Amino acid sequence: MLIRRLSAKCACSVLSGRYTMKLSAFPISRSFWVLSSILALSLVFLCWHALSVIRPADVGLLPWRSHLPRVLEAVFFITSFFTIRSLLRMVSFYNTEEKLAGIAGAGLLVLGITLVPTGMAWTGNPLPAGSATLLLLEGLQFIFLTLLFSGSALILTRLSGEHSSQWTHKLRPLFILILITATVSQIFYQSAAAAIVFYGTAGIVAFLMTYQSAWITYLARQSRVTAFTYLLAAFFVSSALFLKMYYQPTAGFLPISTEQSLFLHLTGGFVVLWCGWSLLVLFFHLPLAHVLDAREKESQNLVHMSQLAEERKEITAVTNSLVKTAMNQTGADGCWISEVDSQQPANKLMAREGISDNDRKRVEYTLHAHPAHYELDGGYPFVYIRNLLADPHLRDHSLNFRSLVIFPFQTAGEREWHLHLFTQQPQGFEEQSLRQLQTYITHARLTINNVSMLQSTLEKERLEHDIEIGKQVQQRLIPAHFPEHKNIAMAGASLAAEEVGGDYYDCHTMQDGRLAILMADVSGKGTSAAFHVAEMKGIFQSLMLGEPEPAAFLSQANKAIARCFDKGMFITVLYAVIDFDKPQVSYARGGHCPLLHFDAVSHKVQLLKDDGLGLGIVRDESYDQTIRVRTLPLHAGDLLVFYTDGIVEARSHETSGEYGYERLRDCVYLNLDLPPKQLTNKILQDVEIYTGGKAGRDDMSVLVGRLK
Amino acid sequence: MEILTKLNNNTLKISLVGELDANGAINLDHIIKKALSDSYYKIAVDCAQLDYISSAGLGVFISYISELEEHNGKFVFYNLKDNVRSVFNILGLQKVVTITQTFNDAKTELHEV
Repeated sequence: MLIRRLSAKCACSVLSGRYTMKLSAFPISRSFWVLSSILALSLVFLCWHALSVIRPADVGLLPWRSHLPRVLEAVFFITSFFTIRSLLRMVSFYNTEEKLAGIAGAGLLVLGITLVPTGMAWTGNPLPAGSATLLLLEGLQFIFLTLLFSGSALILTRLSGEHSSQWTHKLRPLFILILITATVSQIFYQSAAAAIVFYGTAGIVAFLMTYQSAWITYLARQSRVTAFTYLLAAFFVSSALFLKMYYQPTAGFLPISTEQSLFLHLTGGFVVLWCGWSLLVLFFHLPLAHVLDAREKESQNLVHMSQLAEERKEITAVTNSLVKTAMNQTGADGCWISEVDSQQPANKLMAREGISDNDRKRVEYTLHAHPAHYELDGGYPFVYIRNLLADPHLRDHSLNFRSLVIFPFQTAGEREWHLHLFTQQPQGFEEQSLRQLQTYITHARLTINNVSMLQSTLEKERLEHDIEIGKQVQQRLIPAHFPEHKNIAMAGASLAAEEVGGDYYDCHTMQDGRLAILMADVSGKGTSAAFHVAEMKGIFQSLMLGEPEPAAFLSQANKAIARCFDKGMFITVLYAVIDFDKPQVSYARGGHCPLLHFDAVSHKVQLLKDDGLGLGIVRDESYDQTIRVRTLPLHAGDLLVFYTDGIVEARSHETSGEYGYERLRDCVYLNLDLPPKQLTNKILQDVEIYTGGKAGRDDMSVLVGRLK
Repeated sequence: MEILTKLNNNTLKISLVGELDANGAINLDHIIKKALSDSYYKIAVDCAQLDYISSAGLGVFISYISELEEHNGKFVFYNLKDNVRSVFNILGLQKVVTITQTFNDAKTELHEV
């Protein structure tokens, strides 16, 4: 299987059929054209030289100095090196194993060409020495060998350069410099001493580059073995080629034959050294690989978790991520998280993977049914069922897994969640990785808490915003001030206990000049009461069109309220109609606090206590029988004070007493001369002093009218 | 705030202790609803220790008046403190629920229904 893949990959790499090579940026760069043309040219001249050596008579010696062929060969080497380099720059490989496969594959091809004559000799059909075919093969071998060693050296130096430190990036140009110097120097002289110097310096640089084997740790887990195989192949192939080149020199017709060429020695030697050393490193790395993998997985998981915390996604994102992390960390086949409700046998599912909902419900029923059996063991943060088939309760469930781990943990709002992990093998979990999972669970808990807190903060803000809007809306329901009236001076104020209140007052001048005043108090406080205030305003405004007498108003208002108020909600009203011609006031008290009246003539303040029932308590026609109307004569200077029970029920900050009706009467009596606006404020101030400024337990409203 | 209940024959006696605010009203609602589902339509409310009743509390009682009447039952409040009594009177509740002085009067009222 591996060999099949290997050969297939090599074939692909050579034929560049379905290859994962990616051609980057067209157009092909200009330097490539330049280099390849120089390369072609030098090749042509080398061929000429070769021919002139082989068949001097036919071709004729080149009438130049003997250095020229060497120059040509050097030019050939150098241009082929740089041509390959620019070609490689235009192409980018996807991963390391494919690079190695390419090298191995190309090497095999060259080796094949090299071995053709040997093969033919072996089959008993040797190519005659000096034959055209043999010479052609040797020529091709020379060219391909140069290209192979150059290309491989370039690829491998780049491979080392990845993931290595800054200063090693300088090694590559250094090596290339040594290579070029060596090649050029061979044009002029060849000596063993020079060779040794070059071998020495190049060798050191090459070794330093080879030593940067960090790229091995970045191999993907699956590619490690294939990379090893390709590397092995590349090593053997390049060694074979190197040795053949050295010990069976070919292309003797060249000015510098292969076994003497420094260029080929240095590049070829580098490739062999690199492959050999990396092979050893990879071989020794393989057993350690899984440790590095585990470490990397851990840090990946932690990073992932932290990212989640910062993104502040919804809780479902956190739970899904926790499931994936848990499975990743422990190698589980599946995982699910559910919220435990002690009332229900089935938990609420938060996230699941690798198991059907039916199966997980069945497991949870069983776990829930035997809490004592599945308790946490002292010291362990999880319950570990090592073999489901050995478990008396779970064995009959015919589940497709054998080991099960349950982590209980608490999240926001003291909810208990359970993380379940399972795997097909019995004893399938390592305790070490399970304990490490605890860290992620803790982290996930914190994240979930953060997300919950953020959500509730947002909700709170939204609620406050809504209340603020409600407040603004409600401020429009109660008139801010009363317009100038020639017969009566009026003022009113309302203080809500919470952001919005349940008190309402309003007035309406009838066609005939009479003034209707309404003071109302919706049961309850807060937003729901405020909505009913709005309804009451609607009812009042529409009933005013009919300009009803007090009895009619109460009756009709009760009918309207019976329809639209919630069950158990009621409203107390005090509805008065002042006739300025008489002058008199006609009123009905619908369960509201009694009207306070100051008689300017008798100089007395009295509470007008009449019978009456609040609206919305009796929701049929029998309500009408409870209505009582009273008419009272008025005088100039009389005061009428409407108020709600928040005033008289206001609690003292010192004693347990209430403000009460007497204090209200006294306050009015002591401030009779004040204009209505000031009197209103005075009453509210008096109450505030009494309560010590503590927030009122109920909404407070006052409306004062003084007859002129 | 506490709400104590006691069942006597076919009468439910509710004792209210403390101040009946909005939260207490929710509990009260549950208790009365349960009583009705168990067919107790005669409800005596002992207000001896009731210091304050909010409109929410009143609302709970008010919402069940018609249902009790349908089943020939009613609310009877007794031993009211002055301030609570005053609240009932101002609202006019004495016309729709029965208010008595003592427990015995309450029992009489309930048996006469």
